Order: sequence, then C-alpha cells, then structure tokens
Amino acid sequence: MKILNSMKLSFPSLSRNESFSRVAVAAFISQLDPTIEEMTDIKTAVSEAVTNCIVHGYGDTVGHIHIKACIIEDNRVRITVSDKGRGIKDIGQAMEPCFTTGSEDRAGMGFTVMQSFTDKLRVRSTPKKGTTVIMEKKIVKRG
Amino acid sequence: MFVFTEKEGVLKIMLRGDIDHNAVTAIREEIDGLIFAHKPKTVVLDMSAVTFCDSSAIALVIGRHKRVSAYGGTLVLDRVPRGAMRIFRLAGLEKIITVKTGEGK
Repeated sequence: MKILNSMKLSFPSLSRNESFSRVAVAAFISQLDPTIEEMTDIKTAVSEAVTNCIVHGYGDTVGHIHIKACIIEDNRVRITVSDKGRGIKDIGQAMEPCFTTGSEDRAGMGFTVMQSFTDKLRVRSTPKKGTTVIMEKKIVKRG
Repeated sequence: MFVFTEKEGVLKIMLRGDIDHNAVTAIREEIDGLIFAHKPKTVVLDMSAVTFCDSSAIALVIGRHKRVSAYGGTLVLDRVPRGAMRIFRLAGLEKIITVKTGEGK
C-alpha cells in the first residue's frame, strides 16, 4: 500500500472537538475532489468513531484521541481513529445494531453507520488498553 | 433557541445547525421544553436547516417520539436532508415515524 499523503491529529476527548475533527478530516480529503455525499459519508463516519472514543473509550475521564488520515493508491482514503481508553470486551456484540452500553441518548448505531458509510471497517481493541478503528473509502474519480 | 410556531395543535420546531453528540443534549432539552409547554397533538421537527447529523439524531428522534406518543400525540419529521435521511433509514425510523424528505435535497 503506497501512502500518497497523510496527516495526523491529536486532541483531548472533549465532545466539542467532534465537529473540529470531522471537519479537519473532510478538509484533508477535499484534495481528492469528493462529491458532497462522499464528504458527508466521511464526516459522519469520523463523527461516530470520535464519539465512541469520548463516550465509551474514556467515559467520565478525558484522554487523547488520535486520528491519522492517509490518501492511498486508487483514490482511497484510510482513516484511523484510536484511543487509549477502556477498550471493548466483545467487539462482535459492540458492532451489533442497537447495542449500547451508553445512556438512552445513544442509539447503538455508531458502528452500523461507520460500516454503511465506508467501504471497509476494522476494529481492534484490548480491554483497559484502548480501541483502534480503521476505515477505508474510495473516492470516485470524476471528469 | 429554535424558531417555532404553534397553531391549532401543531407545534412546528425549526431545527438548525449540527446534530451530534455534543449538541444533542441542548437540542433535546429545548424540544422537550416546548413539548411540555404546549402539549401539542402534532410535533413537526423541520430539519431543512440541519447542516450535519450523525447517529446521535436517531436517539433524539426516538426519545421525542416516545415522549409525544405517551400522551397520544404524533411526531413528524419534515424536510429531512439527504444525509440525515440515510441515517434514519439505517435505523428503520420511517417504519415508526412519518419522515418526509427535503425537496430536491
């Protein structure tokens, strides 16, 4: 896999950083000339991943969230979102639609949205060590 | 503060901006305050000015639907932008709530 361009972001797990992080990633991928829909897909998937770090990874504590976005061959974007929080005991269960350990404010649809809005989703997690979500999406070449 | 109108039992609330985990608590409290004050037969959430929405909006809508249904009212989502519509469809929201799309969006 050849990385053509990349960027890294690191910020505290404060919910007011959700908007900043998705907009920053969207600005980075704009060099691939995505459609509004592709841009929205990326923003939404990043928003879900970052929200998971805040709500589930760190919960009541504040830790750091790291994002790496790479533009790789074939007009694809690879986004890695990681935290060093609580981790997930059962990834399969966490990825089921409507499963949540959060409050009634959470629908348990985060992973389902990430899966639907990207082409590839991988989740690695170790309890008490943290979680890494890797998403990939192809931006269709136009013109 | 959201712009809203109340006429003949229909409370129409114009949502705007981003609906994400950060924004959702304030949005929920404001909607619930209006529902509590007016107890309308129908609550219409106009989403045409919503600029972004992630899965936080699903729980927001389901929660409001339950609240309004509890006293016999109906919740309607109106002028839902395309991005939000895709999220709502994933959750199967249109099976339990009237969801109208935004024209030409």
